Amino acid sequence: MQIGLADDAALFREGLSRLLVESGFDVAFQAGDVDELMAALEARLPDAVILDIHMPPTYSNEGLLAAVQIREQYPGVAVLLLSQYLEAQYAVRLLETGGDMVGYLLKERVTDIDQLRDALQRLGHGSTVIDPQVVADLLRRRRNADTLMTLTEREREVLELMAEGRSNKAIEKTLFLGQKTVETHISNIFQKLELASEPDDHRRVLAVLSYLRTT
Amino acid sequence: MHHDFGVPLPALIAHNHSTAMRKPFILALVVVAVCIPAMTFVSFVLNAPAVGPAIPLARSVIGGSYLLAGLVAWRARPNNRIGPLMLIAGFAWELTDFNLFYSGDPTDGFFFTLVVLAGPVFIATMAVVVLTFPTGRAETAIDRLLVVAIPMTLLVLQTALALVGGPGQVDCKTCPPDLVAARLDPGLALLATRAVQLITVIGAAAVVGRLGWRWSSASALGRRSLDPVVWSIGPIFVVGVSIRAGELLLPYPHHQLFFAISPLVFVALPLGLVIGLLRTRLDRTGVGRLVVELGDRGRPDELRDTLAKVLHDPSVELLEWSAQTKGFVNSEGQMIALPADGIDRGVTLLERDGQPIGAITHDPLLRDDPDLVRAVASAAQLAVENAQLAAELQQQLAEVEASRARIVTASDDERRRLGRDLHDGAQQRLLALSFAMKAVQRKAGNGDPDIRAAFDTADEQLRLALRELRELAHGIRPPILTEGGLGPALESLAERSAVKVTIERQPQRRFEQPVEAAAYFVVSEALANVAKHAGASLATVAVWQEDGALLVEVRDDGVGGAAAVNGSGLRGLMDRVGALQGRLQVDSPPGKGTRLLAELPCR
Repeated sequence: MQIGLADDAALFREGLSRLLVESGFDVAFQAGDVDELMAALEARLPDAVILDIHMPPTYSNEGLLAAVQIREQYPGVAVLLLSQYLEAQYAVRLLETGGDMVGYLLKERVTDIDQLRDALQRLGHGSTVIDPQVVADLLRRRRNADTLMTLTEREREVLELMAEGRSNKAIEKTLFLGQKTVETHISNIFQKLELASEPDDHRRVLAVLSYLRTT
Repeated sequence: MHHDFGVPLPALIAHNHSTAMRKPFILALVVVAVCIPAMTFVSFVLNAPAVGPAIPLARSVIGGSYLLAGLVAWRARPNNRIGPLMLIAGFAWELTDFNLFYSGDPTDGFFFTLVVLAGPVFIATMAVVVLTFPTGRAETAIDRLLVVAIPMTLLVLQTALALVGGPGQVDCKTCPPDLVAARLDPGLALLATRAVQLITVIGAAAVVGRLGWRWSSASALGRRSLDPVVWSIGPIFVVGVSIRAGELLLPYPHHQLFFAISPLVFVALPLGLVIGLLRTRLDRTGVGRLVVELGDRGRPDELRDTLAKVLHDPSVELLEWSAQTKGFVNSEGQMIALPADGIDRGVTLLERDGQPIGAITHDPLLRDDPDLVRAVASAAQLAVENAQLAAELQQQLAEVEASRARIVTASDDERRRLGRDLHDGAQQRLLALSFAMKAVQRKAGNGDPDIRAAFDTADEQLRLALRELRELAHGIRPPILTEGGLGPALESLAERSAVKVTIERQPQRRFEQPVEAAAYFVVSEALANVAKHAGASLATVAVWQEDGALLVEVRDDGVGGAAAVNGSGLRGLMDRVGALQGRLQVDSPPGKGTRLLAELPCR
């Protein structure tokens, strides 16, 4: 799998690059800012781009805008957006404008090769990857406890995995459940939260995240 | 702050004559201004019944009016000669009347001579009064000349007249013999009498002319004193000339008409003099008004106008002492030299603890009423001091506000720098460390379970360190505020809030860093309070721009009753908002929720 890297912090970039190479990935290029990244993409298209949301010149949401642009311009390239802190609204915006094959992870998450590989593979399969911390933070607030209390323990677990962008298959595997059971849980959840069921994977993530954000 | 002005202000404004002093004065009034004219009248009527009561009564009233006016003026202006001079004139008038009720006894010759000499004393004294009015001093060389020349001429003429035959022999058929009269040629005596009358008219014309001249060149304040005198001298002059003309032109009974109205005219002069002298005194109530007006007027030009009004002197100028330049500054802020307190200008210094704080320059005539000027000066001093203190306070306040703004800006900058340092420094190093550790972990393999456990512990610690650092950085200054501005930052706050938050309005544009930071922290603190104390189910946030201000409103449907200084969080917010010259308002009626509104001036 060919990976392009973009981060203004050379130290992190090097560390990540080494990890990827050691794990059998190809690092197609490294870029220090968005311009370098876009130029590199013109020359050679990788399978996925890992980029920091926080990049020069203004260190605002350059990375997020670049991610959306890449998804538009090169639909075959998956984008994994990294950040040192998490904002659910960034995840939602990424899903809304970037569609599928997008991921939003806490930066430290990718220092672990297992999590990094898992994320890249899921992206490669056309799934969505949302950091579990985003979901956990949204669920941690007391304010939607009432509604969420109506969910069973199992349904709650399914909800979390769903919000992270896991597919039904992945949920079956993770929770050691059958296909039918998972489908029942999901339809129950959507009913209890009064959400319309979504056919697309990433639309489903978006619906759940949006629900959790605004409730 | 404690003010000590030495003399209490009300004492200066109120009449400073005690009741103890009032009784002797009333006694003097009765004795001098009522008893003496009454005695004159009674003896007149008794001794000369043929004349009838009308003329003696009129003459007594005239004499009494001069005595009365002299007493009042003397009391009101103890340092002014006008009062005593008028008293002398009044006594002289009363004395002249003795010649009209002379009993016919030849042994009264001495007394009669005295009486004859008293006539010119009245005229000379009144001439001096009019020439030196209202100060009692002859201000110019001409006045000084006239003040000496007129009485001297009258004295010499009257003595000469007495020596050549005296007026008794000419005009008075029943008069007694004059002691000093040489009884020369009656024709010569008549000629001398007419010459004296002519010179008297010339002298009177000189005095009146001089009065008119002085009036036309007088300051507004001077005219205020001279006006009543001019209006009373005018009729006297007209009537006097008319009487003389009547004597010459009309047969005897007709000029009695002029005699009938002349008493009124003669009474008008002392009245005019007293009014002219006391007009400033009548305005003493104005000082009370001044104090009240000064209370709600701070601007120096308004203060000057008020002073000018109360002192009836449009030329009043208020100078302020500048401690920096050690000089006086006028209302335009220009340094000016203090004029000398002299004939051209009067100067009253305003001092506090022996240090000058200002000065009033005014018409020199005001010196005649030092009490009034002192009272006005005290009031003005109070106002000037107030204004200076207010200005000082204003300046200090501005300095404090500026320094508060600097502190908040500096702390904002510091927060931003700290946040950036954490991001670029510690967080990057920990991530690099994480990579390195994972690499070592892989190389060490899965052999020794102890090593694996140690790695897991280290990994967990690293994860916690990163997380704590992340939260620290967020608390110092949320990156989303720097990156995305208020809109995304408010959404982030709403999302993290324990209470459901609806964002009603949010600005689309960016604002200056301190304004965004203040707005953010206001909402953040308010939402934290809502979650902690309000027992609310919903909070509503609205942030919008209106009339050069960013308005930040946070409402909830909770229990209300929040105190404005409930906890240090709100206090800190007030500092932050205040540093931007903004306002923070908390409206929290019990049972009706809480509404917090911050107004942040912005561009």
